[in-house]
Amino acid sequence: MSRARSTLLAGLLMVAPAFSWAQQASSSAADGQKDPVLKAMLDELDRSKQQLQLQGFEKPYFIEYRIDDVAEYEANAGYGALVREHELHRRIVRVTVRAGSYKMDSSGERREGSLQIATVDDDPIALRYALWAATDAAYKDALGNYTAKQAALKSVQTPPQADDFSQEKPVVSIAPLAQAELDRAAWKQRIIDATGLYRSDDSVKSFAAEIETSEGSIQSRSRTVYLVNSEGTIVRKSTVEYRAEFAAQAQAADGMRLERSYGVSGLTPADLGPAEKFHNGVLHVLTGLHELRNAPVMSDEYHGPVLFAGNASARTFDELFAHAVAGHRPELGSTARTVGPFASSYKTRVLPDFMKVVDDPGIATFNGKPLLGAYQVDDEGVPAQSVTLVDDGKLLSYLTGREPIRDFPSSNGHARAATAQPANPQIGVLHVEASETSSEDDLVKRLVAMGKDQGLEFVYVVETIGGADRPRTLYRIKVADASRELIRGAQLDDVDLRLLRSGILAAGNDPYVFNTFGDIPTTVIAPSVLFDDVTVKRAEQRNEKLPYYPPPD
Amino acid sequence: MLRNPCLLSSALLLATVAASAQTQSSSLLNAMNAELSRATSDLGKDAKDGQQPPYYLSYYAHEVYSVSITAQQGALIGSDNTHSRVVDVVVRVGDAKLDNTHGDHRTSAITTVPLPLADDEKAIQRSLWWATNTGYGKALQSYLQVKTDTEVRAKEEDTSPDFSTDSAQSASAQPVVAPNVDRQAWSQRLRTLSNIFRAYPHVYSNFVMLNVRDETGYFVSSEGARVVDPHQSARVVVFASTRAADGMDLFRAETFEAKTDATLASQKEMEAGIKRLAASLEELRNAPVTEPFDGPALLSGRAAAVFFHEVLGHRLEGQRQRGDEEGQTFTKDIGKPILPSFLSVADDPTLSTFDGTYLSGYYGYDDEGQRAQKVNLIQDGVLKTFLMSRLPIASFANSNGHGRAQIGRMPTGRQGNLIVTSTKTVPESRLRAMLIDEAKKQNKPYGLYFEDISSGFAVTTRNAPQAFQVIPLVVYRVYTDGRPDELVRGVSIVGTPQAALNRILATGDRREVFNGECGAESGTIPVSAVAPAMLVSEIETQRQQQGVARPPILPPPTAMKSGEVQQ
Repeated sequence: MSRARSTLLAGLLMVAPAFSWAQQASSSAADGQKDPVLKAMLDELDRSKQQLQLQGFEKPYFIEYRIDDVAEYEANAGYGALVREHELHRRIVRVTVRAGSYKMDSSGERREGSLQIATVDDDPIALRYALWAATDAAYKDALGNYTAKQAALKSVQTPPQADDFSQEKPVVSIAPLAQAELDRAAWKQRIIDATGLYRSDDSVKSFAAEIETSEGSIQSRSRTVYLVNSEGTIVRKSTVEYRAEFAAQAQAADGMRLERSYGVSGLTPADLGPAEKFHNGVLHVLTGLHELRNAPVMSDEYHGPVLFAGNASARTFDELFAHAVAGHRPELGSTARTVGPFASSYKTRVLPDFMKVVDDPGIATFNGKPLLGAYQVDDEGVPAQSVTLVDDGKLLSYLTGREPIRDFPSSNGHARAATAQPANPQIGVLHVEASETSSEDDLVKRLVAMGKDQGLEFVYVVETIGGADRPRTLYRIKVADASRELIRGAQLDDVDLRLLRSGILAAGNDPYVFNTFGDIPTTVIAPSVLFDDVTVKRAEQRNEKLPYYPPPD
Repeated sequence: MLRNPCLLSSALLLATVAASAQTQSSSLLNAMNAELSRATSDLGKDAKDGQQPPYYLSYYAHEVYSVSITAQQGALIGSDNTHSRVVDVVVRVGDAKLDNTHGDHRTSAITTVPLPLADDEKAIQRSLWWATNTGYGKALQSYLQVKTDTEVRAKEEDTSPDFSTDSAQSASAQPVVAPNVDRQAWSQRLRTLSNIFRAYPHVYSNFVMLNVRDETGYFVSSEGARVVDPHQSARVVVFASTRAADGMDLFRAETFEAKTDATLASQKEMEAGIKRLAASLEELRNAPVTEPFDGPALLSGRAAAVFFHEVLGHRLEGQRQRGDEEGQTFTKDIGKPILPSFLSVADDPTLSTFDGTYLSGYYGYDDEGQRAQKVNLIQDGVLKTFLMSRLPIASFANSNGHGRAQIGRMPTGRQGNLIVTSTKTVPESRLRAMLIDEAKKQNKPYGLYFEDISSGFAVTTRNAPQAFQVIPLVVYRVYTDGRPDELVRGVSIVGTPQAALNRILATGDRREVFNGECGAESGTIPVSAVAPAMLVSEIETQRQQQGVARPPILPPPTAMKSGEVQQ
């Protein structure tokens, strides 16, 4: 047993009582029978377990029924008026059938699982009908895949490095049903107001003509996952997430397209904050856009130290690091442990030795901020565990679901599924920590000092970032007098895993919480980081024509 | 909208709603007019960088209210209610002879954006400004390309202009308001209807769906058009499928249409329709598989309607006669007979009903703001004209009110209500006797009766074979020796369209309506076809390709419940 796994178990035992929601979830199978959806699933599962067999073929050894119940609400506004209001409620059945055994089964690269749209009424027969139809298709596919896989195995020399499916203790966890509690009327008005500020607010309306688009949205999304399997797992989990966003576009005089946005998200409507906060956030964006429009363009290519503030740092870890630590089974015949950039990095250094990375979906808040990536049980019905991925800079573990990889025979509760999709190992709450930290002031001082040493005229600070190479707010600091200036039209280069491994000089003491709202909500918590050598250059982008005629009043 | 129990106050309520809708529509129109006039006077004013002003600009705003509820196996799977406003901005640069839409650049003229739902002229106008800007940029770029392309390529076969000269229309009807659909009552109706399928254990997938769509089109153009055109429709769609023991998938669909949900067929009629549909699938499942056949056939009115829509209607769309990629089946046939002389075909979108049946292809104005017109396409078998949008072709320079598109697409000539008329009619019983006689004459043991046909899609481009796609769903063998008719499955038609059309011997004396949704380059639009039953001297059929998947292993939970024996 690996060291990682024993820490996980210890972690789980210690953390469990601290959950407020853990106390709410029931672990009684009888409570499962009280839920009409789970009851229909269990009834149909029982019938499939007993009777599903095609003559001359094996019965399935594992059947999983999952129903994703998704209720979404979204309102959009533009230029100070409501543009769209939309509500949707759907249930989708996903059935997974495995033929063979835990050691070797039908799973592989081929299509797995089968989908049906199910009723949003709690009608037991209609629910079972959808499950029945999906089960039939999934079982037939599994039989075909199993035969194909047996044949494929004969064509490779290297046997599989791990079992096909891990054995896990069945879990019964029935969480209360969550429902969105958004004050729709109030939030609709907030986004209407926000998108109209460009023409109504005295502090910004002097440059109203510069604003080309002004769009806002408010969203609530609740998802209830019902999960039962032939091993006895019965899970119901239910979460709601909320998000409000604003984005505006303008063009600089040279045609460069500029965009700024502001968003708040959370697990309760209160997490989105009061109206005033959103209002001010939007004003800040509009002012920022105006400033950016008049900011100088990135000119010469720059190679040197760059400070990534918390937002930029967390996004960089999310984009580069999060997928690399997920343990995916390699293709048949491969000797690799997993796929991706960290396939052969086990027990080697992937970050500087003063850094540690833990994924712990069990933390629901951090410094008072809600963490969207938190969950209690994963989408294969395995309890979420805290996994120390990196310690002293070394990669110690991977995030796993129930498809094992070499040295990691069990799931650590990180199989996560988008609606209607299969579950795959993913981060929940990825926490990047440093054992030595500095204040922001000290980091900036160090940055400037490095610039001086290297004989540079300027050094750069990336405040916020769009993608891995696209800074949204970039400042250059004059080495001579430490003055700051906003820059537009820049692009980053050489921001990669090698940079994370050997280019981080220092980390800040200001961990930033970066929540991703969506089908698989995730959180990355990371401090600001000072990189020794990053390229900043002029962005390769087309400068489009300015508007052909002025906007109306 | 609230439902009011008191008749008088409900009338008052309607009046206030209508009044507010009126102001709303006028604010939308005001904003559209204001921006249209600003854009026409400002764009290309300085003529710098080759930025010439657009010679045509139109705004077509669609205010759409829709309700959609779907049930399956006696329970709802979705219930949606939407209100949207979307505008299609069309910008043409160059001149009517040659503009940015030339050849395959047609889509360069259209830009589609959502519009504010609220009565906020400033926000509406700013949205229009942004879309106009985007559209004008696209049009300029495309026009430059068109000019270059035209200079380097050989002279085109069809040298007609890119845009017709047609008069701008004006019309102001009362805009629609949000439909007053009792969603709860309908949910229950649909549950009950879909629940019928539970009694038919081999009908594996099925749904019953209500769609109510009430919309108002607001069309303004730089030519002075000002059209406010409301349109209402309600539809219940039933779809069901089964799988035969040998793996052949079989499906059928039934639809009910009306102007409003309140005037749709009664629950009783729908129940009867669904029972017939489900029973026919159970029957089809056990029917023998067809053998290749080449002989006489009888098409029911409904089947003939689908057949004419697919085989003939699509080939009479004006734009199919122009362009190197088009099939141009009938381009050189104006004034020539293309059907037996006892048949005439018109497309008449101005009809909202036919013998009391609602017609889906009804509209007042087309999607280029032209008034809908009845067009006599074929008279006494002779081809007279085509279905025209404002895209001229060599033989016809003007629109005849058939420029249609779904929101976001450039309109092309499309069908509305295609109506087939015959002067050689006999009672349907007589038609059946004629089928048997014809089979005897050809020494065939039987003729085929096509009761139901589903439309596939018509392929009319030059690269694809000129074969039509119609999928026969319910076909019987009608024996010459007096044996009872025999249902067969897996029939697929082979052959070329003109051939089949010229082999029509006689028609029935009663016409049937087919209402459907038709998809083509300009998107999916509602259409109808009306035709009598037809006797065809020769249709060649073969066995359709079929799936290999087995029928379900376990019986459905519905069958278990009703004590159905397991397979």
